[in-house]
Amino acid sequence: MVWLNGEARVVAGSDALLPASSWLRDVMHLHGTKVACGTGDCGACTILVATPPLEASGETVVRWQPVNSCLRLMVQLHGCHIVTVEGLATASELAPAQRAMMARHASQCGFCTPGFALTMTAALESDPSPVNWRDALAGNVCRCTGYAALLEAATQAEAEAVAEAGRGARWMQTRYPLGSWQPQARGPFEQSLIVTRPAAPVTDAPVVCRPATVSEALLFLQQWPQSQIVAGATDVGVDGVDHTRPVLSIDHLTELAEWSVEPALEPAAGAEGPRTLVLGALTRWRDLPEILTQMAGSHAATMSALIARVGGPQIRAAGTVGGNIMTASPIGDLLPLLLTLNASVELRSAHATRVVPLQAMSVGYRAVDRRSGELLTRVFVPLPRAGEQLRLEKVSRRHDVDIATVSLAARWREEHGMLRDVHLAVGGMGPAAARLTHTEGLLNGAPCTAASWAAAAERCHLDVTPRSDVRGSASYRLLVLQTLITQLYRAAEASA
Amino acid sequence: MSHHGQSLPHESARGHVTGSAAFIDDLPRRQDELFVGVVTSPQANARLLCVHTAEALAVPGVVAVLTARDIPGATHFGPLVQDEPVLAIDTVAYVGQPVAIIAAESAAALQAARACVRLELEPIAAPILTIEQALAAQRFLSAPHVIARGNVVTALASAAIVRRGVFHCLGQEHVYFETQAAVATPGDDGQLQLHVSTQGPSETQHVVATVLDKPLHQVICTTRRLGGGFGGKETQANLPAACAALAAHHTGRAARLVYERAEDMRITGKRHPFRVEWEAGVDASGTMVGLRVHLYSDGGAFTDLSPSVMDRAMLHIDNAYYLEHVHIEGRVCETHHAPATAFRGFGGPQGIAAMESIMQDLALALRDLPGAPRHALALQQHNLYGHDDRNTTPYGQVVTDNHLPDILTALADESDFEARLAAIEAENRRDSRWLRGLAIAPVKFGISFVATFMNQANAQVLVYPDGTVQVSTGGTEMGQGLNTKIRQLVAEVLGIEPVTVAMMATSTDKNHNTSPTAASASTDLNGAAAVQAATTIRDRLARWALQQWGLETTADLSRIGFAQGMVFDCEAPDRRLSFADACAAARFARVDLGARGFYATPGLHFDRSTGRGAPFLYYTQGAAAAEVCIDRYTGMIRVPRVDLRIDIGRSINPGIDRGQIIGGFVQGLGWVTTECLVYDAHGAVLTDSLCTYKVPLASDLPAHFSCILHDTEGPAETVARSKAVGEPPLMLAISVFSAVRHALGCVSPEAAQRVCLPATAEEVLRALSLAHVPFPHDDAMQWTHSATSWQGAPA
Repeated sequence: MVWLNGEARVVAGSDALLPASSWLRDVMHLHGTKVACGTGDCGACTILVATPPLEASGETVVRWQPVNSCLRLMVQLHGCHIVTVEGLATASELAPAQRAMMARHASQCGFCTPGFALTMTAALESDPSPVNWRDALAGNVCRCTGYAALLEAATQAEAEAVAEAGRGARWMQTRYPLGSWQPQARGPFEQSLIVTRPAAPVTDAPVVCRPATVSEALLFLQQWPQSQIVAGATDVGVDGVDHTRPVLSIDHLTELAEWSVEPALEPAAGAEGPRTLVLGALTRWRDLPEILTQMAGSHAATMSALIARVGGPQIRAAGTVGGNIMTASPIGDLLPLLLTLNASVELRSAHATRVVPLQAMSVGYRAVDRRSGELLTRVFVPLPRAGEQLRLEKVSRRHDVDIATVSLAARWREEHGMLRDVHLAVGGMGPAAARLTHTEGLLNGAPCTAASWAAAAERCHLDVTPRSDVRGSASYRLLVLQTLITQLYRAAEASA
Repeated sequence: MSHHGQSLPHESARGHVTGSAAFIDDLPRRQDELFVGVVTSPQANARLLCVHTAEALAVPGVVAVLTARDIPGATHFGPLVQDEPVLAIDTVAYVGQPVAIIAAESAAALQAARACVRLELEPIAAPILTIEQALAAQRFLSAPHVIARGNVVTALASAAIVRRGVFHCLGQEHVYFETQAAVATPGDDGQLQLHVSTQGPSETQHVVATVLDKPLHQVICTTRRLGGGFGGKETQANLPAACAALAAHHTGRAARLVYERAEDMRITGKRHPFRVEWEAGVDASGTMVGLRVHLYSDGGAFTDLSPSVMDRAMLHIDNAYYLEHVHIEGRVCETHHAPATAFRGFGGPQGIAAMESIMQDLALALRDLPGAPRHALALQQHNLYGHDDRNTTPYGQVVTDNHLPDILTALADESDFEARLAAIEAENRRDSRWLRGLAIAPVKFGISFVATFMNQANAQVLVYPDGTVQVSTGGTEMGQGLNTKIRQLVAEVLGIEPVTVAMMATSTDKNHNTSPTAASASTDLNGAAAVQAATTIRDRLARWALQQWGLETTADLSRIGFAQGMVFDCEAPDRRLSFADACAAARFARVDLGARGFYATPGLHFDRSTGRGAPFLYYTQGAAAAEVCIDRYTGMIRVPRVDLRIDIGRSINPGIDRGQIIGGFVQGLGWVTTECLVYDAHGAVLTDSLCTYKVPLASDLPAHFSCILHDTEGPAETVARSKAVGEPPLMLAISVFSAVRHALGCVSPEAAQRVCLPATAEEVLRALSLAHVPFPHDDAMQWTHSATSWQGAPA
């Protein structure tokens, strides 16, 4: 069950596995939601989604997230409130973003327009500080306007919204006051939900399970080990779910979205209190910068800059750290960083829990060492120490919202003019994101000179097997990697 | 107050922002409507031995599976040469070519059936996938075509400096946001009603009628709006429309075909890749004394509009410069790709980018010559068309109203060009990571269809007794603001508020025999026709008013004024009626309140065989100064600053025109930087999603972006003295590519010469990595874009 533009709606049976865009357009006949790419790359199908705050939280402000409806499955929206462009304006008044877009010529063909209106509205709603509109709109593509008018409209809408907020009237809070739908939103949605095929015998696999707790999820996995686990659906949503397997939807399990900081698992001798960041598997990209700001000291900015280039706001609000690890993309977004930090992961099944170094998880192209019935639950990230160097490079065809052609993460420290603890990891250079162990070996103990880095860079091809593909040729990839490694010494110089 | 020059919102702005403006797939489904899809070829250049359809037909819910044998009329179509099969016959040419049509009761049944259509294919030979391969195999879609003047051989022999080179550019995917879409509905007496996302309803009507073997009056094509076109729906909307029509014809039911994005990107043609071999000579002062260019385009598997695109490229290779002795030769190559087609600029961008590359190269060659122009801009200014002499194009048209000398002077000033250039070149010698470049590119773009007969349009204006108006023209609204401008033009004629003028769908049963909405000329043509129709009605009302007020003796209709919603006697303004009352009374008095207007652009002629004529009514002119910043480690480019200045005459709607200018520029920015089409060795396009094909984002808009309308009187012969604005701004983005060349030229001439378009990070880094490797002409002849250097290799 969902709320749609203020009204409760029941999602029928196997419609639970429809992408939200299909449900809206084909079942609800709301055609304002446009699908232009179907792969979460353009934002035209953006809808606003709010999860009702937990009763216990005492929160009264609803956080409206922009969501790519072509990727999100209806089961993931169980108990959520969906607002489409049809529900944005009132009968008598347009939302500030809509008014500003009209006034500023921010629509041309009009196909991407509803998505922009909703993304803008979400940004105006959730962020009290001035919005960086180029970043806030990076998940929405417009082929007509060249964006200038859209950015002007956003700025104008922001000015209007700020004025209105000063009178205590943010648009969505006024349009859909929590009280009008929250009371019914509690309770039922916290119970587990299993959809089975109507005509199927009881022994047949269920279509989809939305467990109430992690324990229930693990029990379900034990019973249906072939289940397809869906977290943020930013990857699986692109091709759609495999309808021959049960779907286990875990996106809503808040216990998997918690994070904390603990002493290092294995404190190195003599080190002053290294700390480990413990991230629940469902920690969203969106939340990482704030977590890092609190925890990672001088390296937070470096890491946040990388995260800002992963997807647009819609993808970062949906995508999870655990999903990034388990889908095992050869590019890996966060994986090179996690590899250089010697991260490890916790895998739980109904009867056991094990902790595995991330490096040992990869067993080939898009394959991980996950045993039957296991669910990734937590990620342990030893935080870099203040004296260490950390460099993150991402090379892509387009600067923002693009998959890396090559990515490089580097961490090391310098001691008496020598390089120590050199950790290098790359994405896009082989079947999986991986450490450059041979190259690291050449650097560890070498003098801190440009020559050391250059010599190591020359040999880095021994660690990688780049391929030519749609994002670049093998020779380009190798050239970039060599250049980036060669130039790491400058980074060291700069901070020395 | 005049409605001209007002920045009224887009006529559908409210519908856009509320999501209520309907596109094809938003139209309600008729109860009997079928889901239609196409089955496409997985191979290029293969014999099609058999299409097995029985299995697909057996899928529950499948109503029809059609192949070429089921086509009742013409099996082939095409705007110039009818060589493109609707559905493949005997052979398949390219990966993605439609082979069969499935019509089903549900999307799921359609999806299931797709996998069940089995194609028996037998490879003929390795597909030809590049211009170079086509040249080697001597495969062409057109005969060589020449436009020439003077004596290039002697001119080059006498030149102080002669340079040779090869310019390459790749194609560009349109990425109109609404994919190709059509609904066909059987109607009365065998008629077929089409709703199609097409730029050319008349052409779509024509193709569908021919394919179904129906007379034209049996097919109606209606288009309310397109979710973007950019040229990609000028001819290429016809195939999906024909497929939907075939399904409707065979089943007697309504049929809807909407391409998915990946399908659209595989099936439809794109902007033409070009290879331009050139040899240019300059004298010691920098005057270009001779130029020889051979242009080759990749037309894909079928002719489509390729010869016309090549013509426009040839007519724009001069760009803004006087070429006394010139030989321009062009030929379209045949390859195993989807047929390349119209795309904003229509060959102009390729021709102009080639010329600007030549200019950048000559500037480098002249750099150390005493007395020669000191930088590229000086060289460009030195060679601009003159006002009174040196003002004839290679094809013989005199360049009048030449604003480019003024535009370049003003732009150099407002962009602080000289000082920034010096600072950038100095900084480039110091900075080991960032490499900057700065360049200006002028653009002179000819307005009118080169095919003279296409420069015609009609409009229908209906005035109702309450004073409201409906207007429909042959021009389609695809976001460019055509309808908004026409609304303003008609409101101005009738002296009423634009809001009382409703723009109606373009439909062939109202506006027939129209040209596609293309060539930037749709306001010029359709606007003029609408003004004429509205004027006809106004004159009838004026005549009626003269009678009404006992002024029959006054023959002068201009005595009756139309303004601010009133009809009045100019000599006695108290004698007045509201426009609505006037309309109601006039209707009672049996005055015809409906009219059609027709416009044909006067004075155009072009003889293709001699390459001589005056094909253009006027030129839209502008220039942009772009700065780029290259990461020497990775080749990635950012564009921190752009200043542009463009002459669009008197703008009817500056808000809309500004959107066209910036939107066009950013689309061009994509073409010259991140938009890179990549194919595999078998000819399948690998960049078939927005995940792999990267169009600009908001964050790619230069942080400093200045857009100035050059203040001119505008041409006397156009509607409201306005100028066309749709295509020209796209070419202003060539300045970005020139800036990349300038940056690389700061490292070495070879680095600049090696870079092909688009300047992707890989392309730039490759050029930088070879900066100090000599680049002799023989190597240049073999050189290609990095994205093609491995695509043609065996897998």
